[in-house]
Amino acid sequence: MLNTRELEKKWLAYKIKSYIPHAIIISAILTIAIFVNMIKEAKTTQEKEIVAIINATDVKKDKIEVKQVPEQISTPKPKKIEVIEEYVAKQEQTAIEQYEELKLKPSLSFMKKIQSSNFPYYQEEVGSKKTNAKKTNKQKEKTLDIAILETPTVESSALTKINNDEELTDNRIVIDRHNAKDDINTIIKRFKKNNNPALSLFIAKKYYELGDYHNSYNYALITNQINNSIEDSWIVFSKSLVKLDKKDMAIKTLKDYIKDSYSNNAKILLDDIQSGKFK
Amino acid sequence: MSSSIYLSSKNVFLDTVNAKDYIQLDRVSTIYQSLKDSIKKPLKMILLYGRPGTGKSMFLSKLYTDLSSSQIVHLYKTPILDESEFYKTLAQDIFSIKYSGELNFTQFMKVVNSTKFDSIPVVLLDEAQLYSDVLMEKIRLLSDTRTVKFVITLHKTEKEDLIAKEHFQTRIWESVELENASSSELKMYIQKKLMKDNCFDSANMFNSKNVNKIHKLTNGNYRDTNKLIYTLFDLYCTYEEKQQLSNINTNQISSKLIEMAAIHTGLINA
Repeated sequence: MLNTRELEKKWLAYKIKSYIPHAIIISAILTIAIFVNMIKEAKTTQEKEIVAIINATDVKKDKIEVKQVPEQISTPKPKKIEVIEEYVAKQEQTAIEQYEELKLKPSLSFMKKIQSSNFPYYQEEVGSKKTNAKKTNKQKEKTLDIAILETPTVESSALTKINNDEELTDNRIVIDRHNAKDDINTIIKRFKKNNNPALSLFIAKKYYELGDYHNSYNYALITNQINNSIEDSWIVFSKSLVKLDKKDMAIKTLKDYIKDSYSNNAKILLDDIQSGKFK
Repeated sequence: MSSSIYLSSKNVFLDTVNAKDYIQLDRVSTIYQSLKDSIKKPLKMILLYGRPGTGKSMFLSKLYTDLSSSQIVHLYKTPILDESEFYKTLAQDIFSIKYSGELNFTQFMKVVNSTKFDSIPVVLLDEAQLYSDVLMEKIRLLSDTRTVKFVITLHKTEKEDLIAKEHFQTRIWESVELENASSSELKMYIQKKLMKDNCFDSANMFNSKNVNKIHKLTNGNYRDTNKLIYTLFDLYCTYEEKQQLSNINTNQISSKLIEMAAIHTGLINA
């Protein structure tokens, strides 16, 4: 009589042994599939984030028409800084991706000319900031006062605060805005530490939004020097030039850039500048 | 299904060389017929070769059974390795001369040359690879006299191929190779073998899938197949004795039991 119990044990061991290679192959295939899927998902989420950031920046541009209250400037700025930092971090990511994808080498001969011209980078920051900021703030105060009186809308909970007392008395909404320059200064500090082109681009854009075209020009130029393949730096640079009454230089710059990059946005901007739509 | 069927089925696959157990398969039958025809031809020697377990011994046994009624045939299943003993045995069996003392090749050749038969006696030598080179050379010389015809079987290995080349290349006029069975041949072999012993139920238990598995394990070797199926039915008998057959599908051969039998016989290294 055969020892069936022993044979069954051996058979079980044999079966397990025979399934091991299959299990390894299947698990390897599954791992690869999951890994590939994860990479794909990561790419799609990154793309979505980029789109969201672009949308967010567009929205912010529209919403920044708020009144500045100089007396309340001394109040802390935690939420806004957080928002900006998040935005900058995302910008960093997108910028890194752009660097990897876009490797353009435009002619930089005009840069030397610009460097030798009258626009220093940081020296003017203190002096010109004050004068320009004062002018622009005054201008904004005027325009914003009118805008708020006519359309009393609350823009953002993070950026605004309703003054209850005033609301009770004459139904006016006073929007409290934290000083954007303080925020920019913290970003500038960060930029000086890590020399990240995403930060300098952000600063350039912010200065441009604030109407400080000298500084927006400077930071766009700095961004371009760090990485000349970032399209936005070219655009901000050109826009700043136009605002600084250097239209010809802006056109030349854009033409040089379009020649190398075939950028649609640059083409649109060039057309706008040439046709006079953008002034 | 009664217990005797498993037992009787098991006994069918006992590894014995018996002409009665010879299973006629199409390809094998053709080879056998060509071998029989070759014996009728005026050939000095016939070589039957193939890997172990391909049925060479069974072929010789069947040939001996079939030819013994019509002509003088002598089958030597076990090689006679001593030279003098070999001559003395042939002298006694073929020429009916009994020698008590030593008999050398010269003396035996004298006997061979002095005797004439109406039909040439056939000597069937199994496992010829065990004979020494010297004795093989003398067998070749004996076959040259055309007084005795030899049918020898060899295992097909590189060494035996060399022997065949060196000793028999010019003399062997017919060589027959036996090969392992194909899957369909193996199915037919198993079922015919079982049905020959009236084990119809167990013959029906073998389907193509089972036989393919067996073929994969045995590579179509008849000896290995016999061993495997013997153990397989032995397992069925054991489970039946332990009254555990209810756990096993008895309508067809269990794949698990085939593998267990293969593990037991060493065909699977578990």
